[in-house]
Amino acid sequence: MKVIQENNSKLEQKNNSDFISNIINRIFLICKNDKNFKLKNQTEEIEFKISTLQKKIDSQDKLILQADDLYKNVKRRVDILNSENSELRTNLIESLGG
Amino acid sequence: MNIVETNIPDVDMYNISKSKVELANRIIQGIYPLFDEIYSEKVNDLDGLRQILSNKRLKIKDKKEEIETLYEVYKRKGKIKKLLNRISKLSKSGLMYDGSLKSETLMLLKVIESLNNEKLDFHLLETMKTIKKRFFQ
Repeated sequence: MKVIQENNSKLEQKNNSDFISNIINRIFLICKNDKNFKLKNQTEEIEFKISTLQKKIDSQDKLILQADDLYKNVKRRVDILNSENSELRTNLIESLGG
Repeated sequence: MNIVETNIPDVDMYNISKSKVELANRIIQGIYPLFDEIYSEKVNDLDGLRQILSNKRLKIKDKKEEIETLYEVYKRKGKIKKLLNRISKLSKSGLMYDGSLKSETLMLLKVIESLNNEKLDFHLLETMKTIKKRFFQ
């Protein structure tokens, strides 16, 4: 079969490359749902694993944020106690003539 | 514009459906190796996510240890505050005018921040006994 080939500039070649990549990804998305697709099972399995891991990572991120908040909260309380203790101790030493 | 001769078979004009299938099969044959690449990228993504998760778990473990350490400090400062309040109560009640008790208390106040938990518990108990004697008997 004869085909017509356009004279492509470099920009067009790059666009073509992106275009082809997009097309292949779309074909992959369609093919992966075909029960005869050779990578169907592996793809489903790996996508399930990726999704599970992503959920775990999201959950760990939430936990890290909560831990940061908790740390800041306890640190603030320690600072308040330090300040109160220091004042009370100084007053007591003064009142006892130390 | 060029006209290029390819190895794509000519379309059978008398059986278009057959030609479509043949063309589709040839496209699929050419594309399958690219699918393997996409699959390999997914495998790499999975490995990357596993590493990220492992790092996050380590980070959480470190943060847990930091919080536990800080919480111990917080509990200690709370004990010190309680002891200082008891000493203050005793001082206001006039019990500290006794010479030896006064100097002992002054000494305690000077070193209170460096006392370990056992010593703090001991002094908390002792001050509580004194307060009970003073106020509840």
